Amino acid sequence: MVTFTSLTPIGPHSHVDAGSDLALHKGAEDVLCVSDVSFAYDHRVALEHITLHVKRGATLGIIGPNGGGKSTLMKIMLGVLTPDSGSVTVLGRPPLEACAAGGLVGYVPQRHAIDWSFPVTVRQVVLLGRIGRKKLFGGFTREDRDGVVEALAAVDMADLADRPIGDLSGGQQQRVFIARALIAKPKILFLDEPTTGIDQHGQEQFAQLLQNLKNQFGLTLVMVSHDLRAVVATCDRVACLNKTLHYHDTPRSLSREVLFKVFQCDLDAVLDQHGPDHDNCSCTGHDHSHGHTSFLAPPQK
Amino acid sequence: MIRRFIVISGITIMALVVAAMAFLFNPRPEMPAEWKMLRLGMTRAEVIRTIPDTLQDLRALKGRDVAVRQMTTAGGTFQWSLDFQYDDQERVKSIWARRMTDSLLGKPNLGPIDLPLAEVSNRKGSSMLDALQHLDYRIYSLIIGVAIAATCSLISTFVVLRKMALISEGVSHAGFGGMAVALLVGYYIPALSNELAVRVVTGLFCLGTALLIGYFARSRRVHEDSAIGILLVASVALGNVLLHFYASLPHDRPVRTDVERLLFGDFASVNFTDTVVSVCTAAVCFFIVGLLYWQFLYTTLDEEMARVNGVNTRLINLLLMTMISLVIVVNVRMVGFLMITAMTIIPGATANMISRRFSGVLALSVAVGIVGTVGAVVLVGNTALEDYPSGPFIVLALFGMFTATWIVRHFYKPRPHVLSEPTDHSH
Repeated sequence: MVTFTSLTPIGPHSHVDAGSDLALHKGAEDVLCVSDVSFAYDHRVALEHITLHVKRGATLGIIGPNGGGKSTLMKIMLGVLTPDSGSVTVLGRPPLEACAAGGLVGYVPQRHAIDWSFPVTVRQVVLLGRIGRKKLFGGFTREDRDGVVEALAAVDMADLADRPIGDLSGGQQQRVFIARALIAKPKILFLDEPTTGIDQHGQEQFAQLLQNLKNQFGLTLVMVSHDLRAVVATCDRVACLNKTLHYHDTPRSLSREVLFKVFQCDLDAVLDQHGPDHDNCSCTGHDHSHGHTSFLAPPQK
Repeated sequence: MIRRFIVISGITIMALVVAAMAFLFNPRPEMPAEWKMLRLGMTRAEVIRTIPDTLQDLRALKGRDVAVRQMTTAGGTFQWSLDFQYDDQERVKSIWARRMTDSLLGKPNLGPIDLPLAEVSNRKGSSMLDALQHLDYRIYSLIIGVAIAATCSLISTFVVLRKMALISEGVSHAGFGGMAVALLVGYYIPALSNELAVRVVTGLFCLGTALLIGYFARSRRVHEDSAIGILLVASVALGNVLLHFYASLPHDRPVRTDVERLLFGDFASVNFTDTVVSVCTAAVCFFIVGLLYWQFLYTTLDEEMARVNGVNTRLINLLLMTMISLVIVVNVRMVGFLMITAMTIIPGATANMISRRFSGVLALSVAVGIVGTVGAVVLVGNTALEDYPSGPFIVLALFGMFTATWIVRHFYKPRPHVLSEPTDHSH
């Protein structure tokens, strides 16, 4: 776990190009608008002055160290938490309303959020994704059950529909979560640490699956992860978060200095620690320079 | 489909239980033994020699000869009347035995005596309610046992899968303090001294404790298990102190504060009202779970995702806490504050070792609960153990079933572990 020292006091987004497309509201083209959001847990500041806007069809990756506020921001965007200040709209609606409406928002939670020994089958888990469209006292319809078949087919899990979820591998479990999110035919899909605990091969398959689904369903994706490589490889926009946004633009423009500010570690240590097999960063801040990674922008003078 | 199954099966079970009360378990109240010696064809003189009752000669008035006997049994006080009709040779051609009660005077249960098989059948109608209200307490115990077991076992599925066993423990112990508070409230406010008011106050105390536990858990200042431990012990201490205080107050008539019975239950004290309330509570709980089956399932599986997907998880949690409180308040007199928690844990834990489907866990949990409870109730009610509190026997029966299931699962049927990709369950 990284121990953070206080950063040199800086204004919000001081390392960010204010003209980047994530910082500007594009009107109807934006599916997600986070405007000056701040949040604290019992006086412990988790987020400060977060502003970002996500266009339709984009794939945004939010990266940052553990405790940086990534999951908190995700929960605020889903309406699970209410910000202390600022506002969030999803497809023009408040988050809770957008989630309750059904057919707008899909969410793939972290894998550890569920008890995998729960006595439920893959089919039932996916079917639950339609519960928002079900009448309070009614049952699921034929359309709902057909949707399960379609969603499982889309993630290549159709032949495991009646398997208890506890019998699945990590990658299969993640696919079930995605199918559950897809069955509601969302416009925007939120993914929270989707590659945690999945091996390299599984991650590659997962990235390909996401791309296929995005193309097939016209999704906008917002992905929270501490896996820098996976985010850079998958996303066309990156936001670096450590209580406040230090960067939000294309991966191409991401620099070593920004990563150091965000992770309090040198780039190579970040890449070593935040590779596919490491969940926690334990870097202490000393220099591990071993070279330059091609996707990063050259150091700023 | 499962939802419909649960609702229908729950209602059917309760209907069958009520029907069983009226028909299957309706005892044939024993008529005076001497009347079984009567035979068709006897003369009037032989009848007089056979039975000690005085014959009221109403032959001229009503064409009948009548004898009346008053009897007191465990089920109540009854008046029996014996009607004779004679043929032309003054020999008995028909004999009818009627059972009447004080509350239904003049509305007899009519039925012939088919000598020597001297049975009296009760007809339907106005006599049914009377029959239901005067059954042997062991019959009430059996029916209540089924109702309690079904309800507690239904709830135990959610308690176990949501890992709320400690919360259930805390709420049941809170009921002990709540009952003491209710008794004191009833003492100082006579309008609230009836049994219904006591149960309502106790139930509100239980529900308040459950909500308080939830508040502590969300506040992050106090861990949930600490909150439960604190409230649990404080409630028991409060109950003990207040009960002693209540007993020390002047009362119009002697009051019993039998703490052992409060903690461990007493099936021998049940009556018709307890039975109806328990059965109705069971029906209500089955109805609620049946109607909101998928919402309960989703909230139990993943509360956060359920909320994101539009489930009103606050309502579901409130309903679950209310059902737990209701079940405890309604049934605690029979099972006891200490023992009822086990009925909301063991059946679900046992079923969870057997089935890997939620509906299967639900059904098996109810089955385990009913079998264990009925077995214990029958054992206690029909043996020399009649004076023992019933709650511990129920818990021991359920524990025995849990242990047996664990042994079988552990040694004879390991959980299948079939995967097509490398396993990774890191959390």
